[in-house]
Amino acid sequence: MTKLKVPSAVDLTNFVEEKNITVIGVGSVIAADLYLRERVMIFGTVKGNVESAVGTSVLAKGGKIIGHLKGENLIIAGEVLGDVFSNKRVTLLDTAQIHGDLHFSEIIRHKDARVEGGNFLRDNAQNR
Amino acid sequence: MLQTPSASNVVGMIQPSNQFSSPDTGKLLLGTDEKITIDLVLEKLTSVIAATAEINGNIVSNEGYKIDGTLVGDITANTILVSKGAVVKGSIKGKKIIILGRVEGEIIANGYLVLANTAEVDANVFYKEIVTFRGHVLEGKLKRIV
Repeated sequence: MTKLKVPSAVDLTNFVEEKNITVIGVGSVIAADLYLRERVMIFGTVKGNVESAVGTSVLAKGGKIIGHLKGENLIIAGEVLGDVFSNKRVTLLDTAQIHGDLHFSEIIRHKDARVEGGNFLRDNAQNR
Repeated sequence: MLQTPSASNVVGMIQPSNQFSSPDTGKLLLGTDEKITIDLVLEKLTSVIAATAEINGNIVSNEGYKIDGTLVGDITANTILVSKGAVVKGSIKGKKIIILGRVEGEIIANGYLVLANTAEVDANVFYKEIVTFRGHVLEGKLKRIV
C-alpha cells in the first residue's frame, strides 16, 4: 500500500493559509455539530456530528469524533464513535478505529484499521 | 489585514510604551493604518473555523483558535483571534484575545485584549491589559481583572 501522508500538527501552519478550511487542533474539544461547506481537518475531539460538503476531510491520528462523520473523500487515522458516510472514497490508515458502520463507494484500507460495524458499498442498492 | 510573523512586533505593541499610553504626545500612533501582526506558529493558532462555517456549540482548547466564520456559543482557549467578518455570539475566555470582527456576549481576557479598528464589540469586557485601535466600536462595560 502506498504510504499516505497525514499532516502532523506542525504542518498545520500551511493549512491555516488555506482559505475555507476548518481545523480542529490538538488539545481542542468542541461540543457542537459541524456542518461545513468545505473540508475539515480534525486533530482534536468533536462531540457532535461532522459533515463536510466537498473536499477531502481528514481525521488525524489522535483525533476523535463522537458522532457520525460524513464527507466526500475521507482520510481517517483517528477514532469515530459513530457511522461514517462517504460519497466517494474512504481511506482508513492503520490507526483508524470506527465503532460504527462504514458507508462508501470506494475504499482503501490498511490491514490494521478497525471497523466494528458493517461495511456498506453505496452503489449496492441492497445495502444502502 | 493579518500579516505573517515578526512576533516581536506583537510583543512590542502590547507592551505599553510612552508613545501610546501617554496622552500628551498629542497623536495616536496606532491609527487605522497600523497593522496587527500575529505569529500563527508562536500563538499556536492550530484551530481554525472557516469563513463559511457556522457553529452552534461550545469550544474548549488549550491552544489557539482563529475564528473566521460564525460561532454561536462559548469558547475557552489560550489565544483567540476573531477575524474581520467573523461573528461570535457567546462568551470568549482566554489569555490573549484579538478581536477584528464582531462579538456579542462577553469577553474575559486573563492576559491582554486587542480591539482592532474593525472590531465591533457588544459585550461586557473583562481584561488585564487592553490595546485598542482607533475606529473600533465598544458597547458594554469595561472592567479590569486585578
